[in-house]
Amino acid sequence: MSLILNDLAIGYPSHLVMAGIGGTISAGSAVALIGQNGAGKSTLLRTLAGEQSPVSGTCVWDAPVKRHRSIAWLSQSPSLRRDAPLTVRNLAAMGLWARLGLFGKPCRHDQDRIDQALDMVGLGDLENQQVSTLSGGQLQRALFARLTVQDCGLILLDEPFSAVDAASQTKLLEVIQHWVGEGRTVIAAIHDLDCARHFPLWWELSKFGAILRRSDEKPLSSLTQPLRAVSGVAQSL
Amino acid sequence: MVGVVAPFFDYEFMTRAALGGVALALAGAPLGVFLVMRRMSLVGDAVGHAVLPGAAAAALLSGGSTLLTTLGAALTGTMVFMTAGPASRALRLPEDAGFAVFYLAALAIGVMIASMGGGVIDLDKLLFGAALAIDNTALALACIAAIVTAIGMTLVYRPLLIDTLDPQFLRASGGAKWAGPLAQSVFFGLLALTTVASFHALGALMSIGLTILPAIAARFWAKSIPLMILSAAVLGVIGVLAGLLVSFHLAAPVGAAIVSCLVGLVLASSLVGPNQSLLTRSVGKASLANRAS
Repeated sequence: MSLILNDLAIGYPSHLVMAGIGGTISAGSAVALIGQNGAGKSTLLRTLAGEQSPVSGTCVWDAPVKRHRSIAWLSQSPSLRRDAPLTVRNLAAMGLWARLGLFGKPCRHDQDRIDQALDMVGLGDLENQQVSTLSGGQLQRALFARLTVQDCGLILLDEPFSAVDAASQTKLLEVIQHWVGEGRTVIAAIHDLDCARHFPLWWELSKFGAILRRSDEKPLSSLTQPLRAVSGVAQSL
Repeated sequence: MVGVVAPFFDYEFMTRAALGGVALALAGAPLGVFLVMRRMSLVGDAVGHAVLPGAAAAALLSGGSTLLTTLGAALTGTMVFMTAGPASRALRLPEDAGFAVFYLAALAIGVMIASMGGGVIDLDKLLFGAALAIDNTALALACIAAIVTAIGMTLVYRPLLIDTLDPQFLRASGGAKWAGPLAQSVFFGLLALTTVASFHALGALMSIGLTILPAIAARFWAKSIPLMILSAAVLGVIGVLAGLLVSFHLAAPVGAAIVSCLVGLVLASSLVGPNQSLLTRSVGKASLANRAS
């Protein structure tokens, strides 16, 4: 019923980014990974997403319900082509790929889910607009709609607010809150502490290969630097 | 007017050329649309050129057998395609630079092999094709390429589309891990088949033209990918038939005539096509300016 990290070491064989990461994140939590550039936030997310193998140790996602077994990941620089000849609705529908496979046809329920996802991110009116014409914030919201359609239990977001305006950020935070309300787990790498304050839990990563401090106040054995205060981060969503 | 197209009905070689050309245009349409979207137009061109040494060597050894020439072409084309990318990475060269070295080497070696035959091999035919002299084997190959491409692209359409537009998503979306590699292998396999099949009609220098040019023109006619493929197929067929007629009536070299007509279609589409052409963009700007004033 949770994400279990067991003595996880992340990075590359020639360059260890962080070692000794252990702990459990229970299903239905929202965790902000904070820390400076180069602290290993993205590497940790990529490893959790399965994009990169751990150097050692394990991370296991034990989903509470069967349909939440999959993991969704939105990288800091998504590989989506900005000139892709796709409508916003097509982009959101891409989220059905894992379930439909090569030939599956979307059913009425799938179409409804796409409608709801687009309405939730506030793009219901723009569903037939080409992706290439969207602003940065609108594109991020469309990608959030795709994440919603993916229907995954663990959602990993790498700097999801870095290229969006305040209005889009508020919308995206609402969506995250909605996901958590549905029992999904969200882990987001966030460099801006003001954004991180919206997450109930946080882990601070240091540049020196360790988790400095966590909101549950249990410093890890690999702690190499004195704790740094991060006041007021742990306000509720 | 009817007299202009009469050669297709009056002469068997024109009918065969038209059939072969239409089959190749249909095979090339979906491949070209994806190749252009993947920004690999020039890589496709390089592979097209790379068929020459294999084709020349096989033609020399077999005395010009179409089947063996085809196999030889497929062999070196595939070899260059498989080795140019990894070799560039190993040598830390930009990938396009690696492809340039490989395809120029392939062309040079091909021309030398062809000249060793002492006039037995028709180098012009290898370089520029002979669409009007297409034999049964080459015609059958074109038809097979069209059918196999239609089936193969239908099979992998969905993962290939996602891999083309958002490769990261395909890898990390919880879908089948084999889908991406399968889609790529099928796509590049079909591309090799169609390039080799086009080689007899258009030659090593222009074989990829029938795949790439209609796809480039199609971008000015359609916004969605299925409609782009349909437009590319229609434009490809028009270009081939027009090229054959130009060649017949003006006694022009047939490969060059077909490619010229396709280039003409790209130009015309970029000027007046309904999607993002110069005309629609200037009309859009004018209406914006009107609204602003």
